[in-house]
Amino acid sequence: MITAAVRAETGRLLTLPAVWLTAAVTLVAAGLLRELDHTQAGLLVLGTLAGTTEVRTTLLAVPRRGTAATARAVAVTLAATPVSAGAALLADRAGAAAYLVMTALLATGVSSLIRHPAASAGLLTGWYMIAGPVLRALVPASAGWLPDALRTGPALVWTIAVLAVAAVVLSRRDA
Amino acid sequence: MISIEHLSKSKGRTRVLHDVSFTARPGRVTGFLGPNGAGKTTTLRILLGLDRTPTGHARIHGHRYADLPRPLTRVGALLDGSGAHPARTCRGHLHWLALSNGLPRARVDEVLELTGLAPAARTRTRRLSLGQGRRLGLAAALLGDPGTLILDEPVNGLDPAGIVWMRELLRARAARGDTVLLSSHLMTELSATVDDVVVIDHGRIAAQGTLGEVTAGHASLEAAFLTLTGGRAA
Repeated sequence: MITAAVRAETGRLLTLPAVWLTAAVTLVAAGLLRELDHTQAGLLVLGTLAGTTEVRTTLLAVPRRGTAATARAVAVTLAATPVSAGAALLADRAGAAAYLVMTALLATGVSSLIRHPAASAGLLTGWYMIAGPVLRALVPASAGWLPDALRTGPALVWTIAVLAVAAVVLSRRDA
Repeated sequence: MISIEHLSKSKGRTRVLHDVSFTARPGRVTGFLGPNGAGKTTTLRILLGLDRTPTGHARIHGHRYADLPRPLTRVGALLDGSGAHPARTCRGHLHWLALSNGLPRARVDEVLELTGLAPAARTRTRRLSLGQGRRLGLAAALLGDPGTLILDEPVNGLDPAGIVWMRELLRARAARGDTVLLSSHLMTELSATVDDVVVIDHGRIAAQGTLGEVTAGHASLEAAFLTLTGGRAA
């Protein structure tokens, strides 16, 4: 069942026009800006698209919430990997590809908790583009621990934490 | 067979369902009637595993919806709207749903034909009329050719021809032994469609039985409904 769920969720994501648009804009931004501090917003949007669209329909087709959430995480990883690799190469930060994939997964978890696409995208970009940089300027020691610092280790810890919280909350609350 | 047993639920501080119990039998169309806000949608969402149940049970042929391995092959559900992303085509929506339950691709075109949506197969769902959106929702419900249908306000938004079409479709499903449960607040459309009636009001079951039993002593289903629900207009 998980195989069918992953295939369906991957197909679902890859047939959303907004996913392709986001991927294209992200790659263009990476090529023009040659950095990832701002380009990573594209992965936040990609994750939000996965976390907030067709949620009810998905649960009717795959009612086991653990299975649905796992399939979604796998699908986001598959969809985000080529975009992340491309953006990282264009920005001359090849080592940051895994970080970008985790950024998309973190956005999936946060947005599935918030449920509203615009509110999620607003919160996430505000966090990554404003709150994170401000906090780093005020408390330089925090730099190594924030999820938005283009560092793989902290991003991995944050992503796992967010997905774990989302899994627990989504299994308990009304969809 | 759908069985709802002693379902109670609160949302915030409000009790939305009070010890709701009823059954919907195979081979019959059961109408789940009540004014807006009576608890119909909440009951159906619990039955479909979307809302959680603090107390009671809601089962389909003895199983919780979430425990059905390929649910679309057992239960077809229609809730409000089409359930499709606005940027998708009708065919694209049905295609990923078919993938999720391992259904053959050919079923997509079959249900598009069955629901009269074949000409709109490549139309993006944001361009569908209200009635076409309901037809797409029904196409999704029929995708796995399930033996149970659970439909929330299926005739909402349909034109008169659409209502007759829906009635004939549901009668045909019941005639082959399917269990059909539909909610509605539109009485006149319903009296020609249903065999059994369950009336809910303020989260409590006010009456249940065959159409004849529930309407006995009243001029019509509408009159019975208004009396049972304290005369509040639907």
